[in-house]
Order: sequence, then C-alpha cells, then structure tokens
Amino acid sequence: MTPIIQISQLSHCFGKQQVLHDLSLEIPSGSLFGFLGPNGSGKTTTIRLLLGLLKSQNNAIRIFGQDIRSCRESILRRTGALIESPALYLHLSAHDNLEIIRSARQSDKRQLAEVLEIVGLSGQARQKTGEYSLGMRQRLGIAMAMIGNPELLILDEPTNGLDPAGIRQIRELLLALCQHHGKTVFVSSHLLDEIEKTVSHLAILHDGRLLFQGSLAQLHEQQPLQLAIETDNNLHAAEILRNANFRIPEITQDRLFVAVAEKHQIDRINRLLLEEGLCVYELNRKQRTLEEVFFSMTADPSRINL
Amino acid sequence: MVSFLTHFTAEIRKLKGTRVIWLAAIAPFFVVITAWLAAFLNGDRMYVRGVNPWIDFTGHVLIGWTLFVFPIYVSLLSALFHSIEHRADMWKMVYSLPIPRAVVYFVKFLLFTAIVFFSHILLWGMAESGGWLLGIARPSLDFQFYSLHRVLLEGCSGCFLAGLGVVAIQFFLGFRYSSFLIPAGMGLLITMTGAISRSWPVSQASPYLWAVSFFNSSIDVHNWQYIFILLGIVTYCLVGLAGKYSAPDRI
Repeated sequence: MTPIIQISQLSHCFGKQQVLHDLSLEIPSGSLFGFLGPNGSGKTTTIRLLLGLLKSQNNAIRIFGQDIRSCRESILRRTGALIESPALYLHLSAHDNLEIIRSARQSDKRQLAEVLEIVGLSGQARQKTGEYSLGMRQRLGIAMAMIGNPELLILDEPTNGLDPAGIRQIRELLLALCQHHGKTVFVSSHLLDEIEKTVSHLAILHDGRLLFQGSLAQLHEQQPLQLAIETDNNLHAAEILRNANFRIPEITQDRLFVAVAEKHQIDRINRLLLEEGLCVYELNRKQRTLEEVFFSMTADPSRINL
Repeated sequence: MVSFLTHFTAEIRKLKGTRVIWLAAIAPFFVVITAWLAAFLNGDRMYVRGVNPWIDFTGHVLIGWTLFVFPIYVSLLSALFHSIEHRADMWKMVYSLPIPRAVVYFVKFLLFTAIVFFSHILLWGMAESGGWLLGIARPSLDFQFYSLHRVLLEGCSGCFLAGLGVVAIQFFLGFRYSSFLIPAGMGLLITMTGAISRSWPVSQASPYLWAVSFFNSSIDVHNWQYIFILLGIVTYCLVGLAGKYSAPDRI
C-alpha cells in the first residue's frame, strides 16, 4: 500500500517548548490507522499540523503526494476531519450545520440525508444541535467529516462521549468506510480496546516522540514472548527455571509466566520441568493486549526496540 | 468567485436564529421611535409652525444615530457577530474546509459591512415612514405638507460612509479577540470618551466620531464635512487589509 500521508522529521514548538521531535510517519492508503498516545503526547498537535491548522516549520508533511503548506485547499478538498470535540453551530439544526459544510465542499445536496442516515440522526435533523446530547454531537461531527465523500478521514477521539452501543456503531462504520468504500481513516483514540478491534496499522506517540509504527501483528512480534505455565508445583518450577537463567516476571496462584526470547526455549523449558519430575498441565504463549503493550511502552519508552 | 459566493451564502446561514439581525433592526428602530415619540408627544413645542418639520425630525434621527447609537451598535454587533465562531471554537472547523483563508476573512468583513449598510437602509426607511405617519397621526405638525427625501437619503449614506472606519476597527477587534468584552467594551468606552470630549477639536481624530462630525451639528448639506467620508473609506480599506495580515490564524 502506498502512503497517503507522509511525515518526515516533523518537529514543532510552542514558544520554547518542543512538542514534536523529528516525527516520521507513513500512513498507508486504504488503512485504518490508529494514532495512540497519552494526553499531551502531541497527537492533536500532529493532527492540527496535518490539516494545516498549525503551520509546520519545515516541509515535513505530504498528503496525497502534496505539501500541506502549498496545496492546503487541494488536500482539504479530499480530507474530512473531526478535531477533538465536534465544532457545531449550536443555534442551528444538524441540517443547517451540514449544509454549511456541504456548500463549502460543493458536494451533492442528497449527501446530507445519506450521512444523517449513516450516523442515525435522520429523525433529529431539524432539531437545534444545542439540544443534542454529547453522543449525538459526536455522531454529527463524524457526519460532517464525511460530507463531500473525502478519501481521507482524520478523526480525533471520534468515540468521545458515546455509549457502548454508539462506540460499536462507530467502530462498524469506520471498518465499513475502510473496507467497503476504500477510505483511509486516521483515528486517534484513548480507547485501546477499540483501537485493537478496529485498526490495521498504528503508531504510538509519547512526549512528542514516535515509539512505534506498523501493523498490529508487527507490534505483537516486537514484544518479548511470555509463556504461561501450569504445573503441579509452580513454586518449584519457578525455582528450576530461575536456576536455568530464565526470567520470571510474574507468578500467580495458578500459573507462572516466563520470558522467552526464542521459540526453541519453550521446548527446553518443557524438558527441564519434566526432567525434574514435575507434571506440566499447560504451556501457553501469552499474547499481550494492546493495552498492556501501550502501558509498558509509555511507562518506559527506553525499553522499546524499534 | 464561486467559492466567494457559496461561502457568503453559508455565512448568512450562520446568522439564522442569532441576535445579529435583531440588533441590526432594533438599533435604527430605537432612534427613529425615540424621535417619533418626541415629535408625537411634544411636537407642538418642538416645531415652529410654517417651518418644514422634517428638518428637525431628520436632525434628531441623524444626530441621535451618529453620536451615540451607531458606534455603540457597531461595537455590540462586532462582538455578537464574531461570537458565532468564537463561542464553540468553530475556527478549527472553518479552517479545515477547502476555502482560502483570505476568502474566510473577507467574506466575513463584507457581510459585517452589509449588515451595517442594512441598518442604514432601515434607518432611512423608518425615518421616512415615521415622518409620513406623523403627518397622519399629528396633522397639526404639517409633516404631510413638506418633505426632505434627498437630505435624509444623503444623510444616511454619508453617515454610513463616514462610519466605515469604525466598522473596520470594530470588525478587527471582534475577529482578533475571542472575548465578548473587548470589542464591546472598547467600542463603548471610546464612544463615551468621544461624546464627552466632542467639543475639543482633537476629538475629531477619533473614527468613532467621524459619522457625527460629517454632519457638523447640522443637517444643512452645505455644512457637511465630506472629508470624513473620505477618511472613513480610506480607514475602512486600510484596516480591512491590515486586519487580514495582522490577525493570528484563529484555531
């Protein structure tokens, strides 16, 4: 997949405070790209730079092969965005809010009904958005980003304020946009579980520095393998493995977890335990969740092998 | 051009349900109704029989409008007009649309001017209608036997043109500062200062007084100071252009 967004060595400062440090990213075309990072890590600043809302200090950003600084309007014509909380004219109806975007994008009037239907707001189209709940506003914000049928959607925390059903609806919508309509979706979120269920690729940002970028599978491959072991005497098993220079990060009542560097060590562990006369009930490779990976990365970024 | 027109239409849509249009109508109405009630209730003492009553009535409307109401109205209008974008941090949405930033600025600038122009049309129309109504409601004042159409029309036009300097300055303040208080408060303060210090010649340097200075305290067209129209137009163009380049990108 060719990159639709290319960021190379992007740095940005607010006054004397540097918030982005040589950030380089490539977002493949047609991907659903998750952009993760704790609060203050530089996600929204990156998104604002991508949309030309902040001026980048060098020509580090290319979208659709064009420089955002010189081709801003041409890029924005093909890009829909939702930045943080949705910006809505609260004294106007959803229909009027969408009409303002539609006229700016010069798209077909019929699209208003389509996007309202997609986000489930057809029945409330004439209601003032000031009377909307947070979730309804969020859904309208996504509808606004979809006006003009943009090839690229940049969504900053699109599931903010949504209930579980709403979150699921947005997840399905994003997947459908990506898989059935060929859109590229760049989404930042704090909901790691949601990101894990949705994205094909992701990047992790911490203190303005990129810790990881790639596919979910690549992220898991980079993580040290852990083996969950259950025996008839877990404490004795732990002692045997420690003596054989294995690291035991965790022991619970039922299992012990052993860090292994390579696959063939699993076989060695099994033999060691059997030779000592222990009964081995379970040897299971433990897949760390994205949440665990994220917290281990952002807690101690120096440990990450990029 | 298409972008300019479509964006202009979208900007008009944003005014729907706001108090901007109400204010634009109420401000001239307030001045005309005050002059009208004064004439209706106290006309016999205010107007000399045999002299065209439109002269004083037009003077009350135009001087009342230009000295106090117009600069205060423009100050409040600028704060209200820009609060549409400032209130819900709309700038990030506006600037993520494929519209040139210059178009965003100048469409707003021209729409703001058009609203002020609309108020002057209302002022003229309401003053004409008010005088005509006085001719019916109080025939003893003789409004029905006279007219002052040209002076009223030229006075309203001159007031609008001389006031363009304030329009541009207040537009810039509203665009630049997200706080409602700064454009409204500054406009109010400068207007009051100007009204108090009006007898000092130096006060005529204030663009907030140019509309009233244009009339030179008289509705005699021969006394009118057309230099203030020129100053208003030049200031409007300069501040309008400078505002685009000196205002930070609103995001």
